[in-house]
Amino acid sequence: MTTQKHISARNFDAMISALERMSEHEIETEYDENGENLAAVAAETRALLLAAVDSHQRERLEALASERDAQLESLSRASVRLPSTVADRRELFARSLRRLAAEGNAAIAQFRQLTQMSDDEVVAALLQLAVLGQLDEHGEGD
Amino acid sequence: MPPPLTFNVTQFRAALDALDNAALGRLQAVARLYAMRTGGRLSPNELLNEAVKRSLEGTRKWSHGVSVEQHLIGAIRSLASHASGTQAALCGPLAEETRDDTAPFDEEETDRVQIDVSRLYSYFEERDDVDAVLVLDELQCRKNMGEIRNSLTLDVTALETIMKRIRRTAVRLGLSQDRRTR
Repeated sequence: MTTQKHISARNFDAMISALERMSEHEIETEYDENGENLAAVAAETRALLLAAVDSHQRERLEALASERDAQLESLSRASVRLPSTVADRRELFARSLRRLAAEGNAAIAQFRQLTQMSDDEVVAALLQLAVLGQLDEHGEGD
Repeated sequence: MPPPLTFNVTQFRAALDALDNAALGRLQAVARLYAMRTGGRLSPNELLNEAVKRSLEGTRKWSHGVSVEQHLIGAIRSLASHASGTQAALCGPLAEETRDDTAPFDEEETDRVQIDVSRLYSYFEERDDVDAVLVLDELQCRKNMGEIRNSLTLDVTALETIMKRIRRTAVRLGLSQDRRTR
């Protein structure tokens, strides 16, 4: 049975730092002495590094897709009681936007031509505002 | 301290793909030795994989003027240092840390931490490689290269030859360690 033997990390690191400075010829010799081929080791290492990048990217895309799905599900589940008439819905929409503008939210510039929006677009926009908690249902924006 | 490089995944992938055989060979050898430094807690492949992952996540900053090879070596060294020297590594997953390539090493820790080289000893003892065992004994006594030369009355070339033998064996044993953990 072998008893445990230790050397200091400093000495071990010194051994590693010698490797970091090796030329292509020297590193090739190191592998040759170990019965390995540098080109094969390099190809395997490159494949491993690139696979790590691809795996990371795949995980990120999956996370983003999952986040988007959750948001869509949340949007589709949102139950909002909207006014029953078109005129009242447009009034609620306009009031909510006025409140947003008053709060300094500049992202509503695209809604300046409100009269050009279809009734369906108004309903969709109201649902989005409701999800964002930005519906001025109690007339506070007036 | 130089500012960290800003890069996207495509650029990082291209930088890795552009590494030549020598750089990739050095990276693999360094990963095998640092894996041994972790006492088997992390394999060479895990170290390489984690170094890439942390670079992309931004927890390991890539500094201006540092090659991608040196950047990855720095990340591997940092991971191995954590795995071999901290309680966090012994008790659970690797601690999340944000470092960059220019962050100084903890000299005190490097002095304190001891690396298990039992497998290296066994290898040379089994082959009756007395010179290698003697040098390992001297290293175990925390002697530097000059002190070892004096103590064993070796010249620079002779000691370097033995150190090369030890290093190559460590790289080979590091590889077998990785294959065991796959």
